[in-house]
Amino acid sequence: MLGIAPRSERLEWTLELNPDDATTDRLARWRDRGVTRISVGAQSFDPVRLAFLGRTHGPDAAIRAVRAASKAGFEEISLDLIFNLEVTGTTPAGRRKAWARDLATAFALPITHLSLYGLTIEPGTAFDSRVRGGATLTAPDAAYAAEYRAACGAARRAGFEHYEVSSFALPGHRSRHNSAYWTGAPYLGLGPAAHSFDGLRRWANVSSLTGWAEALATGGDPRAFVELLTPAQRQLETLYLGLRRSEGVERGHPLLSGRAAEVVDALLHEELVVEQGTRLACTTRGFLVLDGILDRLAEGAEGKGIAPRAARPGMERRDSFDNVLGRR
Amino acid sequence: MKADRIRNFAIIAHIDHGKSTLADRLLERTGTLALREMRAQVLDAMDLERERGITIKMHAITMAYRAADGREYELNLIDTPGHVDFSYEVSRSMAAAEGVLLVVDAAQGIEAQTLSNLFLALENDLEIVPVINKIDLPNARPEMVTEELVNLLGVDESEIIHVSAKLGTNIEAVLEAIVARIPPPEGDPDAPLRALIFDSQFDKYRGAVPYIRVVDGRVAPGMQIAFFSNDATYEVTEVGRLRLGMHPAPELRFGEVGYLVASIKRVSDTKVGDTITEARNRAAGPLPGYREVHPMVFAGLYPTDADQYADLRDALEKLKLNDSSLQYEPETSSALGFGFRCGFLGMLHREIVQERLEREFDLDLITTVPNVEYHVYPEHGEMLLIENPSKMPGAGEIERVEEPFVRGRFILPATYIGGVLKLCEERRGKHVKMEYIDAERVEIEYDLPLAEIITDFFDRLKSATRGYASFDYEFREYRASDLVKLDILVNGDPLDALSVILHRDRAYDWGRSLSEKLKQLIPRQMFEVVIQAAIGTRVISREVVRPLRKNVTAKCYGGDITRKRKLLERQKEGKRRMKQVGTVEIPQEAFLAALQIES
Repeated sequence: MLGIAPRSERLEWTLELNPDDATTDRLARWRDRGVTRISVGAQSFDPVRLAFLGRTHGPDAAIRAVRAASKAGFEEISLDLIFNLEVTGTTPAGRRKAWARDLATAFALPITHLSLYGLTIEPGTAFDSRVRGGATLTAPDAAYAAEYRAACGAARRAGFEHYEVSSFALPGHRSRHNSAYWTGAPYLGLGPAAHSFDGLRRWANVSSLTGWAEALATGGDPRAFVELLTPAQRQLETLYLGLRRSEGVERGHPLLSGRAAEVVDALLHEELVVEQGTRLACTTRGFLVLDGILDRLAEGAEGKGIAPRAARPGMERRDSFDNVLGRR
Repeated sequence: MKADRIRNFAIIAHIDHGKSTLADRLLERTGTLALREMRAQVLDAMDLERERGITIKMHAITMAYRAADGREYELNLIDTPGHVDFSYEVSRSMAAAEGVLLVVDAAQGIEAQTLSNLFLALENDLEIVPVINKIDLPNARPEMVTEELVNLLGVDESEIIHVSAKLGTNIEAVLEAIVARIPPPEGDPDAPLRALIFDSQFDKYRGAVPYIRVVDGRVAPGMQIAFFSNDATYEVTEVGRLRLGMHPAPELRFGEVGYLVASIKRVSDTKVGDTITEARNRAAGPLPGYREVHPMVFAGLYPTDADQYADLRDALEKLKLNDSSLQYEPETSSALGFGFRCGFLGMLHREIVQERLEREFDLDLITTVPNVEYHVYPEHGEMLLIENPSKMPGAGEIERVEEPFVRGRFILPATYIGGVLKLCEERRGKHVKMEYIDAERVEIEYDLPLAEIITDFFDRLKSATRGYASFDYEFREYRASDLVKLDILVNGDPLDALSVILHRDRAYDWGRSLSEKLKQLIPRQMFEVVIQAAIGTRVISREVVRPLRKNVTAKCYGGDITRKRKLLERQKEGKRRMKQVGTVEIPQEAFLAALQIES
């Protein structure tokens, strides 16, 4: 990869960095080969929190990694942080302080971008089985909201824009590839489990390495699914992806008319969204309940053909294909 | 057939005492039905009736019987519905007969329904032929039951016939008693036509077909007939007898039982109890006893899926063709959308209608809490009939409210007296009397508000008496009660479908348990949801559903887009089953839960 990628200052090339793997030498070499952006999966700087998350790196590893990247000449450095942790034995005040320390540490580093995640328990994970065993691993709702707001406040004070529900960046330092996902630009994913979108279809490769390799070796289709989006599905995507961003969506979006217009009025009244010229965007309060907002809007847009249409590999429907083409 | 050879009779019994089996045996013994035509209990034709073991719609059938005296007799069995909801219809069927077989189970003895039916028969001046059935049962105690009947009817022991309908034992004796003891019909063959309608069926091709008993005169095809209850006239196109199916006859004469076809469009034009006469030779007056059937229990019926509203309307129309006692009118609920307020004769009738709508018309329904019809006397103006709690005027405008009371009759083993008295007192009952009908069993009478019986009374009675009590009731009168309207408010908006009218003393418990239940069932929303139970402006219970704060803050990169969209599409599907009240979304289970509140 390092050998074949084109070099250009106009290109964004992000490398996801495990804090333990960071040395100034390595980073300098990558930068030399054209990597423009480093994303560090810090999650936390607190040893107790890291242990809780099962991370192998120590509390200082991420700090060292960010400093090394900066020293190697990287301007674009992003950091991942996780909140909403209920670490056993921690008091609410202790939890609040630990989060404030994580935020202060992060914004004291030479980063230009922050990705913020609330811990969620996904089915089938080790966390999930602990929760089923009676453990409480995530913070109560009120704490969740408070921690999210604390992050937004810390980011604002550090001069970061809250440009997407879980992304903050200094002006001019937004993630370009992430923005591509949210604005409907085409993207190509290579390798097992990689997802792609060509403007009309979304597909993903099978997730197992051997399955993927075997398909390629035998000339088969390595894709796990291909779906051709109906216009209605595409509308639903542009709506919810748009509302994730600080730019929001056009008020004239087809899914915001009819009954949904009443929902919009209610959302404005509840200060969950604001008008920005001809656009509609979430407030911080709105970002906190974005799923609920989308639910209400989707419900309001009923009868407009949002229901999914079956699309399987090799079963693309000519008529909907034409619809899509006709619309574009 | 000459009138002196006709015997018109009905069979009355408590549920499961063997009425239908005895009817089958009579049909079989008289050769009315060939063996291959016999299904068990042929008179109960509707599936639901067979399943529930009760007769809902009445039917009639004519039998020919050569008696011991060597003469041929015509026996008309007029079947009666076996439930309190239909007591008016029962009384009209009896009015078409001269006698009844009073069937009592040899193991169970006299039960509440036995008495109710007996009283109806006595009111109609009918000859009573007591029959003790199921004498083959190992736990039969015919001597005890004989004693009960002797005490009750004042008959001689020898007049009581002991049979086993199941085994066919002693059926001849029943047939002979019908001939010997039930008087032949009386009437005037030369008087203007008077025929009593005791039932009616709807036929797609022939319209409403009344089943009649000719009391005076005769009726034949070509005759112009009129009904006393309305001014319509019709030309008779066919008359006939009822065996298995309809058998045309040249005429029906006084004393005879049969059917009549006259291109009558609707069953509601052939009212049970009404009198048919000849249009150009009218009888001086109708037969006594007719009244308009009036629903006693009301409930809102709403389609779960708003798209089924038109289907529900069509289905109700179709049911009404065959069931003139069903009443309904369109109603709109802010919570449940478009539906119908339906009036039923009683709770069984309500269940039957709902079950038929769901089973035969494949509808998915939500029913509101059933209520009775209230007489509301405002401070000014005329009495209002309120059959929908949400229509009740404000407490300040009301002088008094009256509700229907029934006379409830229980028969039970003395061991359970305590449980029944306690239940009746809880349900605002007024004690009327209690007496022993034999060494072990008592009869208790209470006056009870009908409203207290239509919710879970039967279940409570059953558990209080381990199923050993029988219960029956009849309407008495409207009486004033301290009744209030209880509203459920969600963020200030009333959930009209959950409004109820109930006694002030019960309002607090009802309001509290309902609001607690709603709290569990209303999902958290983006804002605080306050559930209140209120009488007028006085809030008696308040519950809060805390707002939803938490959403998933997580990355949304290329691989997440499809998954998230699908989630949204699925959530949207789930949402269709939610009802929007004001700004709050309420799942349908919440409305169903209100029906399951333990009172």
